[in-house]
Amino acid sequence: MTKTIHLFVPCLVEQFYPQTAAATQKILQYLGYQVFIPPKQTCCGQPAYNSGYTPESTELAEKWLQRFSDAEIIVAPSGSCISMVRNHYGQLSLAPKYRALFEKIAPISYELTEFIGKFHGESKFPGRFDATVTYHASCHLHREIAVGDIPIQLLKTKEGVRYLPMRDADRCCGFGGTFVLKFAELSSAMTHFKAEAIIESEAEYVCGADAGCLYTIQSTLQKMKKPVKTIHIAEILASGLPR
Amino acid sequence: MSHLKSKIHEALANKQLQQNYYKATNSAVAKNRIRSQEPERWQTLRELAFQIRKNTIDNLAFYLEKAEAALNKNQIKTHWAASASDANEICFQLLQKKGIKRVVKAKSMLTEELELNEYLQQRGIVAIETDLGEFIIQEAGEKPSHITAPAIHKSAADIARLFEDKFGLPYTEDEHILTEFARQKLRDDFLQAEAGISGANFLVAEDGAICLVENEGNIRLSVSAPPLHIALIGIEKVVPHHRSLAVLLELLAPSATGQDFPGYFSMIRNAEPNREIHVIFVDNGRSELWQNHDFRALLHCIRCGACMNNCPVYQHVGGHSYGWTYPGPIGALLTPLMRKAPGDELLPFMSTLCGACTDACPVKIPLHHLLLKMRHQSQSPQTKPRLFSFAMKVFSKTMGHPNFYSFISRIAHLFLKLIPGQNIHLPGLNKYRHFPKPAKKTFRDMI
Repeated sequence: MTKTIHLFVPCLVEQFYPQTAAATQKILQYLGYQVFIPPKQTCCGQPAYNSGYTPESTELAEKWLQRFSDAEIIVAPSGSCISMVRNHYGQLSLAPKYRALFEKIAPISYELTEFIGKFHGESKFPGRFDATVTYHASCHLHREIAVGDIPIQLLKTKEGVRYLPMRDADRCCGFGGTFVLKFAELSSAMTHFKAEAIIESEAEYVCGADAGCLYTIQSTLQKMKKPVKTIHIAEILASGLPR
Repeated sequence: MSHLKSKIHEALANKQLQQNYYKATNSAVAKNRIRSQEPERWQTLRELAFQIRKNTIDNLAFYLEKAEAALNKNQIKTHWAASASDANEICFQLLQKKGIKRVVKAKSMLTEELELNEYLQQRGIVAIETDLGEFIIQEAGEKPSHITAPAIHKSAADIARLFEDKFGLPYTEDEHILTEFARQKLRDDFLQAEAGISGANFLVAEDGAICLVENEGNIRLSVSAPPLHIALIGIEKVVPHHRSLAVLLELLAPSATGQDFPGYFSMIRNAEPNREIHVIFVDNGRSELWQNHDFRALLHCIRCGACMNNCPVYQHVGGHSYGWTYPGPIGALLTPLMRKAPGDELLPFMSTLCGACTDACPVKIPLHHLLLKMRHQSQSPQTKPRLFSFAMKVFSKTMGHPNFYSFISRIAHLFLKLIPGQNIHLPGLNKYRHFPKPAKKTFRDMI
């Protein structure tokens, strides 16, 4: 029987990069899953949580858990949103009903590349993506989900991709949720630093696995008038993928 | 603009300063051989170190009593100081009783925290810093910018200019000449000093060994050349026994400077004939921190500086921006809890929560999660301005009601269509970034 995956669409993806969600859906379908998109899902609460707003983040966490309550597997194209669910929901004072839901759901929630690496490690995604690509290792995906070099391995197996390494690849891009607004000047200096490393790599695309980082990096590259494009890893893997 | 933000602004304007920090901290991080080449051993050691520190701190009173008994048995006199002024006064009294006017100092962040030098100076006692970095910043009239490398913010050119101004040394950036000059200058100070003041990296409870870690030999000389040695030791510095000390020592130098082992390691157990040793145990807010269960783990810190070496925020803003003795992620936590000055509560927010500090901490303090916890406990109008709090409420209410969210999202998209160009212009932010507009259709509208 075909397993169903609940696709968790982070709010930044929903609003700014819908193509990332579409690509994720395509990849999961290619891997043989039914993809269900819970229609009433919104934000996991991370912006409020990282800014220190306990009641607001608790409310959103409980609502999120409710919307994914009957999931068998949950996949999202974001390390930080999955880390929020897995590593931080447990820190909140959830009502008993939601605490039980959290305990059921946290272990079945995966970031996309983590999910592929864990259950479909040998997969090679047909189709081509002809470009030079460098990779930015998002903080939460690499430190809190500990995905290792799975994303880079996946990139390297894609036909047409020429992977170019980046110096300080695992250094923070300067996003940090509301930090980007609260400490705008500092955040911008951090992103400039990242942008310089990206430009030095001489790649046409900077690939990442988190919309927050990509949005931050894109806003800076645009300001710097640099032609390097940002892209989510799901879009590269889904490129030319048969239905 | 808050005081913190003006300090950030100042630091970011100084490209050379950021270069100095970036180069020095990165080279320390890159050299940590165990972490990069023996990851399994690194993780085993960290876990052991965490257990050792947790056990010690949880049973702090027990180990402190043991340590004091051992010190007294070794003919070392012990004193207890509840506050900075108590500690400074005890130290001053010990010196005054002997009519001492000149002391040499081994590098100690605790005495920086206590502002001991200033206290002694006001009472007519000259304290000379003998660590090269501390010597440089003392001459420059500055404060340390890093806990293990206090002059990390200074380039060779800065030091060359300083030595030229202060001592008339012909301008040279040759670090051997600069170091040799400081060495010769300090030689006389060591010989003339009537007392040596140090901190301690560890104090072994089982036999009272005072442990000092360094690279220059100045600490060894400071505590052995003069007839009187006063060690000021934070109460959290105790370790149960030598076998637990061995684990912490294996982690300390790799985390601090990337060395396998420090240049010098001294253990002082007994005072030699005609010499006196005093230990001043310093609390200064530590037992209050101990009682705070949410943040007690901060007392596990062994002051290696790995969290700041690995911190991208620290590398950009530098140590002085944090405003107190301890910078970087550990400082962003200790400062609001221990100093509690107005504005300190903003420090935990000056982080992207990237977790590089937590990953590097040799005693596994969950630094970025503690920063988060402090954000949740903070209730000041500085950290949670009313307008921002209101926006957060609106955000969570909107996100909490999917139909309302869809409605708002549609309106926002219609509105944004009316604005020409590809970017959202946010007031005050356009000079930093060009934020892209949302996609023409949301994912919900695509499917």
